Amino acid sequence: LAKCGTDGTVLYDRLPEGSMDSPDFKQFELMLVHRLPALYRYALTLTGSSHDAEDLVQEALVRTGVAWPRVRKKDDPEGYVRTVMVRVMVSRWRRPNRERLVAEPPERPTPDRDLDKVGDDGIDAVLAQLPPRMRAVLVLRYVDQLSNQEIADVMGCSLSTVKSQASRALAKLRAALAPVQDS
Amino acid sequence: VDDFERVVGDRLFAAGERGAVPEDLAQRIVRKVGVRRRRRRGVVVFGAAVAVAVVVAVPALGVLGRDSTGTVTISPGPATTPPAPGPAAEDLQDLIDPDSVVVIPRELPGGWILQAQTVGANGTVVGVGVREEDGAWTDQMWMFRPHDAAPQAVDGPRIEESALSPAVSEQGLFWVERRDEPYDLFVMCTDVREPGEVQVLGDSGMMRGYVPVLVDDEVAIWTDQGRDPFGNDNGAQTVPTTVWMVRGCGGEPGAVASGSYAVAFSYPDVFVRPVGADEGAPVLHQVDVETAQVTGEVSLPLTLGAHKEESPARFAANSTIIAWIDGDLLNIFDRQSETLEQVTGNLPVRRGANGSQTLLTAGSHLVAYSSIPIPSGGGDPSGSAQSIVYDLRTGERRELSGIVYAAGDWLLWHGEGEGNSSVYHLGQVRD
Repeated sequence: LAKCGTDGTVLYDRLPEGSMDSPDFKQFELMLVHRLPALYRYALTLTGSSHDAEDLVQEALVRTGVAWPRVRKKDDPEGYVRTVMVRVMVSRWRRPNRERLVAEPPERPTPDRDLDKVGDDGIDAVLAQLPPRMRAVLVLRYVDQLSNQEIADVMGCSLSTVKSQASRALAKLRAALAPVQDS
Repeated sequence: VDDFERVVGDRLFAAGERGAVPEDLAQRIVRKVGVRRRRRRGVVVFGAAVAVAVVVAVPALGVLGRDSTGTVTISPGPATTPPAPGPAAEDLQDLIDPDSVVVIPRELPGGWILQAQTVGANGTVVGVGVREEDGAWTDQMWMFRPHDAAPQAVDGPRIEESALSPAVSEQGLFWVERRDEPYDLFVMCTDVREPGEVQVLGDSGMMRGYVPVLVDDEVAIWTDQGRDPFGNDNGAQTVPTTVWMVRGCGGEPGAVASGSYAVAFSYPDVFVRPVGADEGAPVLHQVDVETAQVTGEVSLPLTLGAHKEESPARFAANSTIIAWIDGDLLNIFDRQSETLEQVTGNLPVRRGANGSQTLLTAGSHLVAYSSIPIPSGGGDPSGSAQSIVYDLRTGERRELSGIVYAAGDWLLWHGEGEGNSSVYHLGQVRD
């Protein structure tokens, strides 16, 4: 069976302003070329997994590309992509068949100089097991240095949710690491 | 920020430094953008219908119900069907009061033509202006009330780059609007008595792929898959797909059900289907929107959803029945006796180059089914649709050319006006 249009799209878009070959879309491709590495790194920070990061940055950029005629008019298209990434990320926990996060990635370990910087205190393992939303709050707070209100705006949730998620995430980390630190 | 938090931040930052971009990722993204753009371009939605592409006919389906036995086969019809003139008012005089029939001219200023998108229970027709040549839409919605001489532009709603599936009541016009937000499908409303001021009713992301906004008795219903209204944030495994209700444009939205999506509505009852039920669990729950309590259940045939790729289930309800399309079967479930009362098969299917879509609407006495071809280059397929009007009182079915809507005591159908012009007819159903 050949099929199309079964992805659940219910809306009709007007004919697009430009084709894939239009100057508008070339701008998108340009952004892709220049900013993909940084965006991929951000996805890695958000997810902690190369597989999930690839999936996340791809989904966010595809959405951005589809909406590019509108997004390009914004002051900060890259910020838009990052916001989409965060929201896609936090919506994952809502899926009934959410993938289970594992501490160890399936890839074979390879020597990596940067990995040496990571301590063996177990923080990374605990971070890997945090629900996506908690991890996203921590990333926005400690990597992006956003205020709680800014985090709430990015995530599309309430201020109290941000505070509670951050508090619970830190509590989990401290609790999980307490035996290590005690020893 | 204490030392521990600094360490956490360092570790998160370091996680982003550990990988290189996969080589072909940029190419994959560009390719997928192209696919999604093409896909979004070719889909038109009429009112409560949901777009579906039908490329290959479904062979033989089992028939359920007391009126039919054995097996029926879909009549696929030709791949493309030229528009045929719809019925004149006198052809339907056994169903429609001829004195009530009004002709809605479809010509709009600027050479656009009106494409009806929904009909309210009071006979109000809402649509957009389309351009035959390429299917482009006007920036505004248009409205026609039974006493109007011509469609009127509606202030307020602006169709920027997308539009969508309006629903209308005596007081409110509801629609879905795509915004520059990750939860991008917003539910909007304006008061039709004084259009202009636009209200945002839902900003949590309309659920895609199912019935958009349902309206009856000034209550609007929609489903989103955004935030969880019950605050079940902590579980992290809940399914937050939520059915919302609001009374009028100025009302406060309230959650009606969670983990389900709405498929049909007849105040005060909304029929919801559990998320994931497309693959099984053939049941609808009837929920009272005022109390958010389940008040009934409708068992669906096991065949429902078995061929959803060809023709997903469509539902429509009134106070006495709930109807659904399953493959080429129209099923009528009597809500009083709680039995599947009537089944009629061999529904016509009309396809365009981009497939077809199915529209199912229910009025007080009639159920209307339309199969609408989706042309490749846009354009208006209203006249190319093939429809069935089913009389709930007699069980008789009438096959019509052109698109048909049933709502309240009204029927809208496509027809031919003076000089072979394309028009809509709007008439009241006989008691």
